Amino acid sequence: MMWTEKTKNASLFDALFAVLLSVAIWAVLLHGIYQSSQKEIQADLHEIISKQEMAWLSVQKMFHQGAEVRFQMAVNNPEVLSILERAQDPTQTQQARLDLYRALYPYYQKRLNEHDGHFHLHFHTPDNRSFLRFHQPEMFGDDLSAARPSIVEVNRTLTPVYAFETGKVISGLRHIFPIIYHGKHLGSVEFGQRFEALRQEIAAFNPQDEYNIVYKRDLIEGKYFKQFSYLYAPSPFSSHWLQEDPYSVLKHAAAPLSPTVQAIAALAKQDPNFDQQLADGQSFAKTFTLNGKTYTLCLTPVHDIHQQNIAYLFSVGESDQIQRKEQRFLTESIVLSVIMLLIGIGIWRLLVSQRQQKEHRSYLQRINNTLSEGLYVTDRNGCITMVNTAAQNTLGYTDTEMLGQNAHDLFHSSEDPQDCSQHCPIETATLSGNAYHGELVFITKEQQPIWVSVSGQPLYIGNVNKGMVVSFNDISAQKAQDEALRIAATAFETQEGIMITDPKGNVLQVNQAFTRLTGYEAEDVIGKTPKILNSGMQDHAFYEQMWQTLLRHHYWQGEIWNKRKNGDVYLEWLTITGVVNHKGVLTHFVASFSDATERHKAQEEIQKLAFYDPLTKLPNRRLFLDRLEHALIYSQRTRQCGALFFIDLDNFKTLNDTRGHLIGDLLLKEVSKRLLDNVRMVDTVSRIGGDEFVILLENLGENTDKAVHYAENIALNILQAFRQPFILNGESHHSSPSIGIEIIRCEHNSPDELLTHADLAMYQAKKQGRNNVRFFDPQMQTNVEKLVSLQSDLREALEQNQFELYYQPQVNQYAEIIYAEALIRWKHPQKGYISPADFIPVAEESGQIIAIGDWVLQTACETLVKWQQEPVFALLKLAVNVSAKQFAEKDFVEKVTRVLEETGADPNQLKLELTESVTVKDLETTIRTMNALRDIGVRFSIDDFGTGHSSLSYLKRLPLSQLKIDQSFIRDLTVDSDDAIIVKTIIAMSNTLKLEVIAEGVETIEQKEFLKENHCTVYQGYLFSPPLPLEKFENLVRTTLEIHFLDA
Amino acid sequence: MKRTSLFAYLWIALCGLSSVALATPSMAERPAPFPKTIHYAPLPMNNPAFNLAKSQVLTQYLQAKLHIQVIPKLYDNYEDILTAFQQGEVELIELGPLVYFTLQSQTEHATPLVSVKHHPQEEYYQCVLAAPIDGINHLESPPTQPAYKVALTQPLSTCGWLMTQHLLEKHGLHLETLPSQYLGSHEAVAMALIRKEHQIGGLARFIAERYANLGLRILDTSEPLPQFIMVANNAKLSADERNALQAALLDYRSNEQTPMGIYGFNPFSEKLFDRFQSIVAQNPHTQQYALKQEAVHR
Repeated sequence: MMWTEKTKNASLFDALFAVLLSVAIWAVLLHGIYQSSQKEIQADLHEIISKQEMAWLSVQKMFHQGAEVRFQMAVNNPEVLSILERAQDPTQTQQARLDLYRALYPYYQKRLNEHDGHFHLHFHTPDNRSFLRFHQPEMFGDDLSAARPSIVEVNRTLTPVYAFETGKVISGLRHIFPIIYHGKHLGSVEFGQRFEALRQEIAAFNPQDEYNIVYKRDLIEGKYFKQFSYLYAPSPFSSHWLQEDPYSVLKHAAAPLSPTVQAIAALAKQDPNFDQQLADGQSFAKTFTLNGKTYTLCLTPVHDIHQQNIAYLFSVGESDQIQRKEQRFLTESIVLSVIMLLIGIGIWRLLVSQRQQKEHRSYLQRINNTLSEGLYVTDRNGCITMVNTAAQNTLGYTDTEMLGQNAHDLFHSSEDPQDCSQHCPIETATLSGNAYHGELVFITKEQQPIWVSVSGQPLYIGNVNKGMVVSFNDISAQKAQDEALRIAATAFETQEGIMITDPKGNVLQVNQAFTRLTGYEAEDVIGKTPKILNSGMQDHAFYEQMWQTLLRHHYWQGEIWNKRKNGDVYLEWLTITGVVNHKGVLTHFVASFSDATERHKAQEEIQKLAFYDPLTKLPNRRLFLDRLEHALIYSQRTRQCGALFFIDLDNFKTLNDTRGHLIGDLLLKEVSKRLLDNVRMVDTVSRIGGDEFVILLENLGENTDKAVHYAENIALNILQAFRQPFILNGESHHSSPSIGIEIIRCEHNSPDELLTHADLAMYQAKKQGRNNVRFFDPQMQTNVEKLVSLQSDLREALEQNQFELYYQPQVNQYAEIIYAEALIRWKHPQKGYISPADFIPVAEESGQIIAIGDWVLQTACETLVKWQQEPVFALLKLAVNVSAKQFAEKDFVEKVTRVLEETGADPNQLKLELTESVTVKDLETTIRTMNALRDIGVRFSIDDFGTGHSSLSYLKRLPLSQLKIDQSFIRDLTVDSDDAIIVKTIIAMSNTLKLEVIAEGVETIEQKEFLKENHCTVYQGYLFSPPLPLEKFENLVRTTLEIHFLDA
Repeated sequence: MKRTSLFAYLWIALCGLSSVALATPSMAERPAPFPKTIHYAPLPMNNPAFNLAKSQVLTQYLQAKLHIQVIPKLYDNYEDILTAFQQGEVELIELGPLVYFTLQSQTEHATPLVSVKHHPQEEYYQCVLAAPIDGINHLESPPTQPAYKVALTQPLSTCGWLMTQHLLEKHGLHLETLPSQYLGSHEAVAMALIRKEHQIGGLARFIAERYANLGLRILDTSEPLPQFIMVANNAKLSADERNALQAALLDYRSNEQTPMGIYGFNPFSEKLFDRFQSIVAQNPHTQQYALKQEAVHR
C-alpha cells in the first residue's frame, strides 16, 4: 500500500514536472511568436498613423489654398472695405455692421450651402473684438483675445494665419486675414471650416473608416459661450476629452458616432494607459477586437497656432490585414500548443521510463545490499559499475567513491604492486571466461589490509562477456584467529611454567617448563589437582583466600611456596587467570609461574643493602629517616612525645688515624651493641655515617617534661655504658660519646629540622667538653643562624670591597711614629661597623680568613708602595697580622713574595705579626716559612706574646725581630703586680734575645712610664692614637713630624 | 458525506451574508414617497437627441430628489402629447399657455404645477412686433407700402399667430390679410427682419431685445402673458405626489449645462391667465387653427 502510494506520488511528480517544463518551453516560444506578430502589427499601425497624419495635413493644405481666393473675392473689394471703413466711426458702426451682414449674407449663405453648412465667416475689430459673426450675428463686441490667439496674432502682425482652433461657439480650421484699406488697419476676417468639413474630405480618402475629433477638455471649457454648453459633451473615450455637438444640434451636423465607434471607445476607455497616451500628445494607434473583427483606432494630434495639442483626430476602421495577422498568431499558437502537448507527453513518458529503470536498479541494489557478502560488478575494463553496501562497509568507501573506479587499482593488493596493477587475478580468470576462487588481501580506504575470500564470475549478457561479478568475505578475523592460535601454541612453550586446569582445578595440560621447574612430567599431574605441589608453608586460609579471589575476579597473582617432586621447597611467582567463554562461563584456569627463589633472596639482600648499615647491621640513614617521618606523623596524630638522640664519638678520628680503620670499625660495632642494649626493642638505633649514631625513641607520653626526663635517663645510661672500656682486637680502648637530644613534640613536622636540632645539641655537648649530654636550646639555632648569616655577609664584603684598613701608629719613647699596624675594619652596608672580634673568628672557622688575609696583605703592600713615594713615610714599617690558617698554607711564602713583587713594596718595610699559637703548631715548618720570608727581607713579630706557652728555646729558633706584649698584661700593669712582673719578664727576655719589644694597649701615661722605665721603648695604644683611616693616619704622621721638627 | 455537509453550511452562510449585505443598503436608501415611475414629455422639437439632452439634467435632478424613476418620452407634436396625456401615458408635461388651454378644454386631469422661467428677472412673458431699424418705424393702417410681409415663429407659439394677430389688431391691421411666413423660431424671425427679408415679425420680447443692437426695432409689445408651465396628470399622480413634485421643481436651481429650466421655476399663478384667456376668447378659432397649422408645419 505504501509502495503503491509512493509510486503514485512519483508518477504525479513526473507528470507535474513534464507539464511545468512543457509550459515553460511553450511560454517562451509563444512569447517569441507573439513578439513577432506584435512587431508586424505595430508596423501596420505605424503605417496607418502615417497615412492619417498625411491625410490630415493634406486636407488642411487644401483648405488653406481656397481661403486665400475667397478672401480676395469676397472681402478684399471696395464695397466691403468701405463698409468696414465706416464701421471705424462709432456713430456708424451699428449701421455698418448691418450693412456688412446684408452685403455678405448671400455669399455666406452660398458658401454655407456649398459646404453643407460648415463654412463660417467672422469679422473682428482691430482690437480683437468680435465685429460680426455670420453664424451668430446677434453676438458681437465680445473680447476674443483670450479665446482666439490666432486673431490676436493676425491683428498684431498684419499677416495671415492658418490654424485649427477652438472657439467660443464652434471649433474648426481658421484662415484669418488682416483687412487693410487705404493703409488703414480695419480689423481682420476669418474664413473657417468646421471640423465636419475636414472630416468629410478625409473620409473621402478612406470611406471605409469613420473619422471624428475629440477636444481637450481643460482647453475648451471656459472658452465657449455658456449658453452653448450643450455643443460639447464628454467623449466616450475619456472624460478629459470632449466631443463636439453630441446631439447634432448644429445645422448639417455630422452623424452621431456609430455604435461600433462607441463600443471601441468604451473598450479604449477601459485601457488604463489610454488616458496617458492621449495626454502625451503623440500619434498612436491601437487595435481592438469587436464581434470577432479587428478594428484599428488611430489618433492624430491636432495643434493650434502655438503647436499646442488641442484635439485628436481619430479614426476607427476595420483592419483585415491586422486581423489576418492576429488569426495567424492564433493558429500558430494552437499548433505550438499541440506540439508542446505532444512534447510534454513525451517528456512525461521519458521521465516515467527513467524512474522505472531507476526503481528497478534500486530494487536490485536493495537486494544486493541485504547480502552479508561484499559484491561488486565491473565492466570489461575493471571499472566498478555496481557495489553493494556490504562491500562499501568492508572497504570503507562510499558508492560514489567506488563507482567508475578500477577495482584492482583501488583496493586490490599484492606483494608486488606493479605486477598486480597489470594483472588482476580475478580479471585474468573472468576475462578468459573462467571463475575465480581464492583468498586475497584487499586494502581498505584507511589503508588497512584485510584478508578476503574472493569469488569472481564472468558476467555474460547474451554471449558477450561484459565484465565480472565479484563477491568477497572478510576473513581477517579468521586469519587473525589462526595466527593467534599459532602464537599461543608457541607462547605455551615458554620459559615460565604453565598449568591449565578445569574449573575444579583438575590439571588438563602442563608445558615443558612446568616439568623443568617442578620435576613433574605431564603424566604425573594431568588429572590431578595442584595440591600435589603443596609445600605446607601456606595455611588453609591462604588457599581459601586465593580461591575466593579467583572465583570472584578470575585472577590471582602472588608468591607461593611450593614443593618440587624431589621435595625441595621453592618460591614461585604465580599468576592464575580464569578463562571464560563467550557466555561468561568459567571454563579453565591458566596458571603461569616462575621460580622466584633466587629473586627472593636477591630482594632480601637488596633490602638489607638499601636500608641497613652493612657494618653494624643497624638501619641506615634512609631507613631511619623513613621511620622518623612515620614517628612524626604518629606523634602528630597521637600527641605522643618522642626523642631524637644525635651521638658522635669523641676522638674517633684519632682512633682511626692511630690504630687503623679496622679497629675503628670494631669500635663502631661494639658501640652499636651497647646502644641497642640501652634502648627498648621498639626504639630505633641507626648509624647515619662515620661515627655518628642516632636513636629514635617513640611513645614517651604526652607530657614533655616526662619525655625529657626519660630521654635524659637513657642518655645517662648510654654515657654510663661507655665508661666501660671497649676491647678491640684484644686491646682496651676508652671512648666517650657527645650526645645531643631533641624532644619530639607533636608540633614538629620536619625530620630534617629535628636532625639539625639534635646535631646542634650534640655540637654544643662536644663544645662543652665532650662525653656530655646536651638538649637542644632554641638559642643554639639563633647563634647558628647568625653565624651562617655572617659567613654570607663576609663573602659579600670581599666581593663588594666593604673592608678597609686602619692604621694605628707604633711610637718610640719620643713619641715618634716609627711603625704602624694595619688593622682590618668592616663597614657593613646595613649593620655598620662590625668588630673584628666578631667576624675574625667566624672567618677563621669558615676558612674565609685566607681570602681576607690575602686582601689585607695586598692592601698593606700597596700602602707601603704609596708611602715609599713620600719621604715622610719612607721609613715607616707596616705590621700585618697573619692568621694561623693563612700561615699554614703551603704556598704562603710564594704568595707573599708574589704580592711584594706585584705591588713593588719593599719587603724590609713589611712586618708580619704571628700569634704564639701559629708558631707552636708545627715548629719546623714554621721556621722554614719564616726563614724563607726573612731571607727576602720580611720581618716577623710575635703578637699577643704572653698568652701562649712560648718557651725561650722555642723563641730562639724563630727568626723574630719583635715581641709584642699582649694588651691584657698592659691593661692592669699599674695595679696588678703579676702583670707587671710578667711584663718585666717579657721585656727582659726580649732584651736577652735581642728582640725589639713593643707593648700594645698603652692607654695611660703611667703605663707608658712603667714600660719606659723597664726598657720597653716602643708603644702602641690609644694613649698615642687609635687606629685611623689611611688619610688621617698620614696626616697624623705629618703633624707629628712637624711638631718634632718644631721641637727640634 | 462530511464534504457535502461542509459545502451546504458554506452555501447557507454565503446566502445569509449576501442577503444581509444586499438588503441593508436598499432598505436604507428607499424613503418611499414615490413608489412609481414618472414619464415626462418635454416640448416637441425637431432634434430628439437635443431635446433629450435638454431634459436630461432635470429628470436626473427629480430622480435624485424624489427617489423615483423619471423617463423622458418624446413626441413629434403637441397633439400627440395631449393625446398621450389623456391616455395616461405621461404624468408630467411642459406646455405653452395656448396648448394648456386646449388641454384644459379636453380633460380635467391637467393640474398646473409651476411656470418655467425664460428670463432670470422676468416673471412673465411678452410678445412683440418688430422691424429692422432701417425699415418701417410705425404701423400704418392700411400700410402705405405694399402689404407688409410678416415673419412668424410657429403656429402654436404664443407669439406666433395669436399674439401677432392680437398686436396687429391694435393697429387696425389683420394678419389674415397680410402675407405671412412661419420661419420656425424666434431667432429666424429676428434674422429675417435684420436681413430685411420681411417688414415685420412677431416674436418674444427677450429674443427681439437680443437682436436690437444688431439692428432690430420693437414696434409694439403685448401685455404680460403667462409663461410655459409644467402640468401634472392628476389621474396618475396623487395630490401628495403632485405636491412633492411641485416642491422639488421649485427647489430646482439652474444648471448652466442644461437649457431646460436654466432659470428655474416659479409657482404657478392663475393671475396672468385671465387676460390671456380673454385674448384667446377674442380669437376663438385661433386655438383650433393653430393646432392644425402646427401639425401641418411639422
